[in-house]
Amino acid sequence: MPNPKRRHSKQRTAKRRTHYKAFPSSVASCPNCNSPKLTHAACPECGYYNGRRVLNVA
Amino acid sequence: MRHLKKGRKLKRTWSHRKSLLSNLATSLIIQDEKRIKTTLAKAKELRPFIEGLITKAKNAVIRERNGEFANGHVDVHQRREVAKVIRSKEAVQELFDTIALTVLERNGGYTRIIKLGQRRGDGAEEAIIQLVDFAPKQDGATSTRRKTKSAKAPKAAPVVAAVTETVADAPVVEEIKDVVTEIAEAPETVADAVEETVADVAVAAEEASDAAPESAAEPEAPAAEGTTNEGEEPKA
Repeated sequence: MPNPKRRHSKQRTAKRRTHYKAFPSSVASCPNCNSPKLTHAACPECGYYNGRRVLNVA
Repeated sequence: MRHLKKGRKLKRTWSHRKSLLSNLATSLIIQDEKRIKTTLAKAKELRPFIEGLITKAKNAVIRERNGEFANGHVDVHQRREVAKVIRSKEAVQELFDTIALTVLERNGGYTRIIKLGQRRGDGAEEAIIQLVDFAPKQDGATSTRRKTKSAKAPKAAPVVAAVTETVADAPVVEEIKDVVTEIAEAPETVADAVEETVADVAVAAEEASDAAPESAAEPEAPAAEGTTNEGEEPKA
């Protein structure tokens, strides 16, 4: 069976993983109720999107 | 290469996927509010699927209205074509009798997808897909759609009146005044013309409203310009 010729160092692994990042979700404030909401999505608090009521939030 | 690999598999076999889309489409058609909540991926797959069906139904209704079928018969073939995928008679009927008539004026884009964010449990992104023409009418919605001609028609008359007033107030030559009086005396003619030639009037009204602020500042030349626009309208 073919096997790696050289040991894969921790440094090499860590270097490769420098681009593995967690990104913050894009949160904006709702123009209708000012509560935080995801961009391009209906506001979970007031049910508005694009100036239009799209959800019936209890 | 992703040649010919369009679309999502939704982790289903072809037959399973076909059933899923058929069921989603049926739900959307049957549902009273014409909106269903599902995952974003399914909503995006459903959109072209159902829009094709709606277009089929719409075109069938248009052909029926053009009298392409004898004695008021309906387009049975198109109904059967749709019934191949929508296996509910009620849904097919609803599609042809209600939805097709409502979307008659719309050239595609019958559906709207609104993202809702991720759900608890599996973190799947959810969305609402709805038929645009069945969404409740609301004030204050910021529409990205261009203003339709019919939407502009009611605006045209007030603009005409406002400009006529401005022009009448301005000190202008007698000839122009006469034209203005004519227009002022014939608001009904203008209103009729507005209804008849919605497109032309909308364009003319835009020009007129552009000219209006100027005529207040510089009475002579722009007022004459505005009047020229006015004079054309009753003829048009």
